[in-house]
Amino acid sequence: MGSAVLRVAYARHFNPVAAVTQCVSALGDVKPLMLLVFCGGKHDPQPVLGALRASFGDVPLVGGSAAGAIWNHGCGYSGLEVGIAAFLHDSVVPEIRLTTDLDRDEVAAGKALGRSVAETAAENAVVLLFFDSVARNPPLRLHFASSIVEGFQEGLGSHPVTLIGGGLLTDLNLSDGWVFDGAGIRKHAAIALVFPPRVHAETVVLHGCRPVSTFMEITRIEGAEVFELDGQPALAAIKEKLPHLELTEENSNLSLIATLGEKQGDPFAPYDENAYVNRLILNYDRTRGSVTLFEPDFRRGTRVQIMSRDNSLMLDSARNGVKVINDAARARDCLMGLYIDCAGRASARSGAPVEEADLVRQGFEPSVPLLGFYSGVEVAPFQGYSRPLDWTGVLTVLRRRP
Amino acid sequence: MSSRSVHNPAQLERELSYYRRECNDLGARLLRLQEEQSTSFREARRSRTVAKLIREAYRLGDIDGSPQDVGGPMLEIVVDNAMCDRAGLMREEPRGSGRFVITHAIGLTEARMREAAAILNPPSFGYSTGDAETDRPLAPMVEVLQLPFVLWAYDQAAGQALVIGNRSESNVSRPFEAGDQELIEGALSVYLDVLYRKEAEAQLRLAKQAAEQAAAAKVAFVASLRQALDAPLSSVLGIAEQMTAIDAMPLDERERAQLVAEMRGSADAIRAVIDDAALMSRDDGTPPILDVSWTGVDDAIRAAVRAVYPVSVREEVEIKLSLPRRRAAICVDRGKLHEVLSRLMVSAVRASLSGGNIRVSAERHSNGALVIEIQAMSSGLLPESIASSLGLSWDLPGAAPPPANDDPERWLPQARRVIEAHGGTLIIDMLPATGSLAKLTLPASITRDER
Repeated sequence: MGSAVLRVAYARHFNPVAAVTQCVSALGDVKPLMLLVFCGGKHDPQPVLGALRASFGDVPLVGGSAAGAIWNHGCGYSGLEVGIAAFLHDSVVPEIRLTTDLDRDEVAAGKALGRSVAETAAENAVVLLFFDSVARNPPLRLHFASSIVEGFQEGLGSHPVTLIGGGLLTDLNLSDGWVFDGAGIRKHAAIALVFPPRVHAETVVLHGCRPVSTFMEITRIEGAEVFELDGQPALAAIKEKLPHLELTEENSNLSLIATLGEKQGDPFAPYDENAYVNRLILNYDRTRGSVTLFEPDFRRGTRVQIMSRDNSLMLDSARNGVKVINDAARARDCLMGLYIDCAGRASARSGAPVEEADLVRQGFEPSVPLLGFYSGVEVAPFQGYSRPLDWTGVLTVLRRRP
Repeated sequence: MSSRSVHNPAQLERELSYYRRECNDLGARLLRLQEEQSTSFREARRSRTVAKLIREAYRLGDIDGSPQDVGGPMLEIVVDNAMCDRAGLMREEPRGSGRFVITHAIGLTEARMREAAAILNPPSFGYSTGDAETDRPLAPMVEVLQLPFVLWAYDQAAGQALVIGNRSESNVSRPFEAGDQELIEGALSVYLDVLYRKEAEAQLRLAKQAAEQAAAAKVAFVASLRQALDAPLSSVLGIAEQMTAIDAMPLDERERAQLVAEMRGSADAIRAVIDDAALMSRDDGTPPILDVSWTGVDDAIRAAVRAVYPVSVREEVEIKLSLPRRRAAICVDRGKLHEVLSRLMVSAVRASLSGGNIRVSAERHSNGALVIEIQAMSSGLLPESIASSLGLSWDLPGAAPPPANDDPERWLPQARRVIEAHGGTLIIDMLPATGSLAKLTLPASITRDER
């Protein structure tokens, strides 16, 4: 579905070529200038690339792997989905900027990418950022979004852009991830899509976490590993707050249970889900007494609260967010909706009684093409500054000024 | 709060401490409730998975396609519902051998799929836990999927297995457990049901196609018969009219002889057409219409041997029989297969020297196909020998015998068409030095272990 400017398609098939063929058929007789592709992680990307090349020639192909995909008429995270947005008019086609050095130094790579974007981006241009979330596994090592974004902002300098993006996964279990870099398939890469100045974005961030503890101060942290909270071992401090928590070999992964949240602004202002930056607790180490977060951007002195992932809050947030964004989506100049949905919000992981992505796609303005994917981390403007977010849904509408 | 406590820092500190404690306690309880609720929903979701998987899988029976087309969509449904990392359908070839080939897979490379796996004494159900000792019987399945955690089901009678696997036990992929037997066996069972249904549909399609071809051939046959009879009959009628006309001139001997010769020529032409028609009606070149049902391989072959026994005694040729160790069944037209086997055996007997023997054997091929061989050990199964053995009727038992002038070389193509209509092949090899060999192969899709 879509317009003469932009169309989207979605398919699910065990055969990657058949999935692409269904998408190509759904796109209709079009000659895209660029394809944004989210490819289910169980598919071998080479046949997908080959099938798209066979249909559309050497069109630039960006995006990458996804734990699942979302569009107006469905969603899934079997890893066999393929979602495509085809850009058909040069007034909306973004420029591609790329770094392939994430494995060497994420901050430096982000900085180089930011510098490159600053050279071409108009002021406040919309920039979509995608990168492979998993550096390697096992043992699991992530490409930290906070490091990439920190470097990116540094590289941009004073050049303001609207940065939105997500980390790419192959499945809900953080097994791997890869990137379509415009020409082929890459690991350890971040791709920035810099939109023309006429394109702008409106975004809502959908949350779902609620504080369940008093404030604690991080008194010792190294990277993403938190060693101390309020001067005592972090694991013990969390255990003290959550005495029912059973720390066994089987549940060394706490990401299904709790997050740590940093409240922005007045810490004693009434609860507002939009005030929190949450970090998933990736795992814990009993011998070191530490917990490791999904991102390394909390610092010594950061005051955090233990946050509970609240499914009913998450679903309410989805319903409310869609209502807000639909005002923008109903405008005549609307190009498409893009939904970057944390893989943890999928019902299979969160235990939500309904698929949160279903609420989003069903509530979203039906006349506007919507494409989304299940991500490892989300990047969105947050209180005036784009930063990585955990366990959120980032719903963006791209519009084209007349 | 009293005004005294407001101004009492110790009291305020104590109150703050109280509220902090209560806040944390309530928070912990809330988190626990949230976690329990999530766990309950996840468990409920898993319980629904079996029902949903089976419901979706049964719908595969409604889609167009051959039996081979069912495997891929089946695995797609399994992966989507079980949330596993990899999945594969495997077929044991030959059945009972413990050698498994991967027929369909999701998450495996092409090279991996080409490799066969040796799984001796495969269990009907099993799962691995990551413990090397207890997982030992499932080590080959772990090797197949190259994942440490696998869930396995095997249907011995069908020689088919389903295996799914995960990289880890945590997160979405909870550990496999005994309760998953329902899921994996249910999925395999539905797959086999759909597979059998598709095979039956394929047979029906074949039969329908054959019936349509036969009907078309009949129409063409009648049209060509009419055309072929038209000229000689017109000639005969013309002569008759000429001879009986009132104003006809009397015929002399030469003219009469000429007309009689013309009439005889026309009559011979009519007779030739009728003979050809008789021949064509016995073999119109179209695939025979099959009336298939499952029958034991042993029964089919022994019945043919019994039918040929009087001939073998008369010719003093011994029939040596070798049947599969594991009893198998085939989905065939019993009558037509009996005819083919009987003819091949009689041919072999007649082509053998007195005092010699023929060997009749049947075995399952590694790909599941059934191979029946009829070998004349003492001389070649030469065309002349075949021709001399064509005294039997092609029609089903009980039908009238064929006319004596039946073309003796016509039954072999007919026999081939019968076997080909079953999806098989019939090959005759002449082995001048050692004898001759008739090799009849029936495909795996219509062959199974006898239940």
